[in-house]
Amino acid sequence: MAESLRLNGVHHTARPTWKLKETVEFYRDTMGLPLIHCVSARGWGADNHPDFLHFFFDSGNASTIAFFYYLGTSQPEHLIHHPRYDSDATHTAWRVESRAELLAWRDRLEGRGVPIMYQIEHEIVESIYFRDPNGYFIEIGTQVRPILPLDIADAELTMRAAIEEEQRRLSAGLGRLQHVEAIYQAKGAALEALLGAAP
Amino acid sequence: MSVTIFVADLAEFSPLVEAARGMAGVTLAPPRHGYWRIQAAGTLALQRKALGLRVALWNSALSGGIRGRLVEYTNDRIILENEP
Repeated sequence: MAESLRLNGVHHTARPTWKLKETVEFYRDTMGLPLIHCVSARGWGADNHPDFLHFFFDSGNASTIAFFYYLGTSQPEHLIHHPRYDSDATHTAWRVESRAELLAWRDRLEGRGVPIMYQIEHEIVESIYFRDPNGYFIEIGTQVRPILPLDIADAELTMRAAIEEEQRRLSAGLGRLQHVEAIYQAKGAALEALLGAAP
Repeated sequence: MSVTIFVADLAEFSPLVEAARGMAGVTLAPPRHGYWRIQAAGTLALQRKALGLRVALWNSALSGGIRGRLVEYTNDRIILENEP
């Protein structure tokens, strides 16, 4: 029955925090996400696990965002969030159902002193971006248009071009992909093969 | 050999197609398998302001695929030329 095996949205995502009060105040009070569950437990399991709090905020549609607060620990260097594009790749993006709602969230957050870093219309989603007290990157977005069959076919074509081009480079000792132009060219070649050469 | 830009037939990329319609020396073939084909004999140049594309889309404007060599891709201008 593998065909019928489906995930049904997000239960929770979780990240660690070393700022208990600020994190609760930000998600519960500033954003207005109800605090709906908290595990307060003695440390157990592997690796000398410390005592901890694991707490959950309701982010709508039965989804939650959760945090771990490890008692008696200091934040290790490798978990300090550095505000760079690669660290910010790990982020949470919530959905709202209209541009009016997106702008209302912008107003709410700015009104409560949360700087909005960007508002960007991408290909299928328009989003605002901001940070929580941990420095974690947060996005709220609204779908600009529905996903179409062409989006799915195009994504497959792009991935195939990128993977084949990278494998070709690796086989030739040229290393991993360096520039997106190589993907555009590989995809163009694939499309020309599919559609026929130019007249 | 000509220069080609393939453009996915999706609403956000339509400014590329509309711009190609008015360009001298450029042919525009309607979508097949979901892709418009914009072609020129030697060089194809696009200006961001003329297209009216926002920054995010300007930076994925060629994501449909190209034939030819990308000789310039700045914040304002894209130039494609024939392979040497």
